Amino acid sequence: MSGDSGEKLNIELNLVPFIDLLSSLVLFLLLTAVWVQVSAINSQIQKKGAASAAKREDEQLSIRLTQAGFELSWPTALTGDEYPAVIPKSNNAFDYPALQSRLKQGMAKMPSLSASVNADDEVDYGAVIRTIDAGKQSGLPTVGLEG
Amino acid sequence: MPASKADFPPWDWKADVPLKKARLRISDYRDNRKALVNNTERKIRSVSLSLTSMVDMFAILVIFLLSSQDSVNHMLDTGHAVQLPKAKTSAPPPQGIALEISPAGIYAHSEKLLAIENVQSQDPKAMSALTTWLSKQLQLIPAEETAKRLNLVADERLPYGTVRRVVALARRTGFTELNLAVEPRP
Repeated sequence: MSGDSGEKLNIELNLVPFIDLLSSLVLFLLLTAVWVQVSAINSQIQKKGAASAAKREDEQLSIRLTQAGFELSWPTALTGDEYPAVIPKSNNAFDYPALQSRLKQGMAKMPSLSASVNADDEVDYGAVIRTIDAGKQSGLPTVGLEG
Repeated sequence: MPASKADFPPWDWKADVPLKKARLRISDYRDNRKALVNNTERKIRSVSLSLTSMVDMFAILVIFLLSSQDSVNHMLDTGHAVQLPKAKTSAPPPQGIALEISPAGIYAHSEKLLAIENVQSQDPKAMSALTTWLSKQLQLIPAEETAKRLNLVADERLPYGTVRRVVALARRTGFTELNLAVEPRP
């Protein structure tokens, strides 16, 4: 583009302030960003002991974590060797795969099966969460936490 | 009095040398100045950066950070060295009331409500601060919302008895649902 004088017009943008602004914005966003991804498991709060009282009516399974392993209280419709009362620990750790397979068997026979989880005071909270997770993975529509 | 010959001495060319030197100096200065300007221009040309790609990169970074900011709003406060349990079946936590249980104590919005010893003690009065806080938060939930949700951010190493006391207190206060914060496991 040329003017009357014949000199070329300099149309270059001054990008330096724009870069300053962007770099400040990037720094601010990087500092305020939260890098640890957090999710949540939804769970109903159930009154302690209510699960065992209501299991026959509600077709509810009660899972209790103890130092020995899982103690399961199945609904009356689910009886037999496929539905054991205890799943012992394996190598001093809770046997989540075994629990999951039993829950899947229960779900196959009773699709409306729901569960409530409780634990001894000494059991780690992390183990309770893994149990709820195993229940959800097995397809249980509702996994409650007794409190 | 007429001028004598002595009044017009012969032209001494050597006397003009300083003037010549001065002329040379001026011309030298001009030449040097031109060379300096040319060199500077050359240098400027050689070090000029292509800023467009840099601006592009910054713009993409800003867009990425701004879009991830939306999910940041759904994040829960996980300070106070809380080690979250891991789970496969999880969803982004909804916004709501959040309570954090760390090995040091119970926190709400970075404010310490209780020391962990108070939670573990059998004295019901030891948890009065938490009861008051939960009751206040429950009143903030709109009446039309049937599910009274509480986001619970608890450390996986805690004994379940500690967490259960808080859950039981939340149930007695009127909360019906829990969102248990976890770290997604692939």
